[in-house]
Amino acid sequence: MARTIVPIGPQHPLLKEPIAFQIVVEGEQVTDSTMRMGYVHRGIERLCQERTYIQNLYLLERVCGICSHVHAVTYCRGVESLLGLEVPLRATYLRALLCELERIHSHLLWLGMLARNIGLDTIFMYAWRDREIVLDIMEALSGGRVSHAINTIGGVRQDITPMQREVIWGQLDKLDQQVSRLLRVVEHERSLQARTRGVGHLSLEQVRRYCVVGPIARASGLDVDLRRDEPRPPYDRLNFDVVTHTAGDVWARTLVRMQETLVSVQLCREILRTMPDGPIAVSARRRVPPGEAISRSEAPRGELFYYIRSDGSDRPARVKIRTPTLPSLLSLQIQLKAITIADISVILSGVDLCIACADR
Amino acid sequence: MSGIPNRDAINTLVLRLLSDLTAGPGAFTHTTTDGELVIHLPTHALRPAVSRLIDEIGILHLTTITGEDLPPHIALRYHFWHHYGFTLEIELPRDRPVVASLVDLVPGVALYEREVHDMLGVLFEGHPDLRPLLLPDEWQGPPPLRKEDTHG
Amino acid sequence: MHYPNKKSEAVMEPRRQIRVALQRLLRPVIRWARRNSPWILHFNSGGCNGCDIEILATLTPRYDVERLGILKEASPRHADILLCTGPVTLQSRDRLRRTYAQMPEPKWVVAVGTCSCTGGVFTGAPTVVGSVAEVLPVDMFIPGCPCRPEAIIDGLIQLLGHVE
Repeated sequence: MARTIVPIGPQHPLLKEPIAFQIVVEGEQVTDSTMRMGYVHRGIERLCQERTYIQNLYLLERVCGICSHVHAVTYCRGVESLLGLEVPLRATYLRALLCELERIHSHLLWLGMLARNIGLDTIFMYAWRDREIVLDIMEALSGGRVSHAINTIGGVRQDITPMQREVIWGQLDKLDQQVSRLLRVVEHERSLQARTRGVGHLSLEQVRRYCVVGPIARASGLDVDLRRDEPRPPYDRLNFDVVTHTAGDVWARTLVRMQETLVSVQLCREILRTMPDGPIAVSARRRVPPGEAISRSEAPRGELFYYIRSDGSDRPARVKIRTPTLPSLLSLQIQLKAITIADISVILSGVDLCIACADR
Repeated sequence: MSGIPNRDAINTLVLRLLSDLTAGPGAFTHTTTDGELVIHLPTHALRPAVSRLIDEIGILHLTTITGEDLPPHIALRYHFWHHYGFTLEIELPRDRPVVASLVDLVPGVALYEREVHDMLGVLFEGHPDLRPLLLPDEWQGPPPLRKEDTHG
Repeated sequence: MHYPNKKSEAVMEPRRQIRVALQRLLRPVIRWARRNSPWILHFNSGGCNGCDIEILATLTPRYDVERLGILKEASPRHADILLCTGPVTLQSRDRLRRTYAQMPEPKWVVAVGTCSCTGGVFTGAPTVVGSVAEVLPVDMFIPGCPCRPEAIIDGLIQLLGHVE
């Protein structure tokens, strides 16, 4: 049969960010694929070395627009560790609140994109309409819908007022209702299940050998979640379930992400209920003593890793970022084999790519 | 959760498994500010160390490889995770940075080695595909994370 | 103008006059359609995705640009307005130029977001060219980091006010 190469990207309706795939097709069957990244490479690790620690905070929030807060939090934790700072408990709760809200908004965004790429535009519209509730809450807390600038080295910059707390509580109830309804729709929508069941299967062993992280790993049965496994305040004081499934296909990933969204709504409520009083920041020195710090967080897509080395000046000597999309991209090499052309859009949507994160 | 060992137990386990490789010259350990173990190994000991850890502990989760240009060396830090994080660090000579690839032991290392090759010019022997990962096609200059690269 | 079989001038002149008359009649209709139904193509040339999701948010029920006639198109050949987000990276530059060249006239370029307008926080990075204005002629700059959907809609409406 004739071999054709179907190029997908760098600009394509399926992709909201530029990345190029060359998919080798024989008839309707996909046999192989190659990938070209780097369209969004801005050399952020290099830029970090030329700016001060506090200037880097502004830069690192813009590695990715979807998970900007968790990047800032992970970086701040690394620098605070180098400085030997103890961040006030209230600040950790506020950071975690925004992290969970970010997880909700990211998963709803993903659900909309998956539905849109399959052709179910209504679910896209409903998911993104409900996502606006989350963006409203984040805007009330920080002043920004997508980019928050709420972190500083030593804590957070804005506190939550009692009135805001009441309003957010009500909106969380509404969000819970809407997300539960979306989950019910997704669970009963047969065309969504037909397109996603059995597609893009990754076994537990493949997930471990390729070091895949996040909801993709949890959908294949790997029980790993850094919020529970590397417990830091406030997660060491909060009760939550880690959602796993065993099917390992795009359908399992859909269920994991949707159920995680509900867990996050619950976590937001618990954070609001149990938030202690106290200061929201401690002051931080400009010059950071020499040392190395490693900080990890559970971003919406999985394990986010920061390595920061300081040489005693006010600029970092090395900042290394490993975003969770990189192992997801590696897992695509396994998934984009022995499938039909129609499954390509499902698989590319199912891995929840954030190319800005991957390219940095 | 009661089955999860504490950090000291994991650090002790890793050091015990690598005790003969860390006994020689050029090997020492220190910790990060959070108490994570960083084990410096001679370059030739990296593959045996990873291989032994996989045999004894099971499939290892490799988070990433941090490369840093520290003239006259290039430091490569392999960040692993087994209940807690630990790092294996090697030093390569700057004018001939060559090291054996780990891609057959840990398939997940593929993109990280490509990125270090791109950013620092390190050659990973045995890697099937060291094409540029992040740098644009028209990039002519030296690897960007090398210290001699100055841009206006 | 050449015709395969040369007809006499007596036949040509009325045909030409009819064509000119039709064009004159349709011109306001075309102008009305262009202003009231601009189709946009979204091109991310290296951004963090923040402005991209705000552009997508304009399609969703709260902002709903479709009521203004704006549709998001997949092909440059169907688009009137090119919405650019993100700083232009070296790898994206030629593709941006090629996409712009594939759009039929008349076409407009809108730089959405601070990175697209000026290069933003990534100015000076060795793999970043800079703002979209370094590569294409930009008709409207909409700053913001990220740009709010209201600002995007406002910018597009102001652009359409200049559309002839």
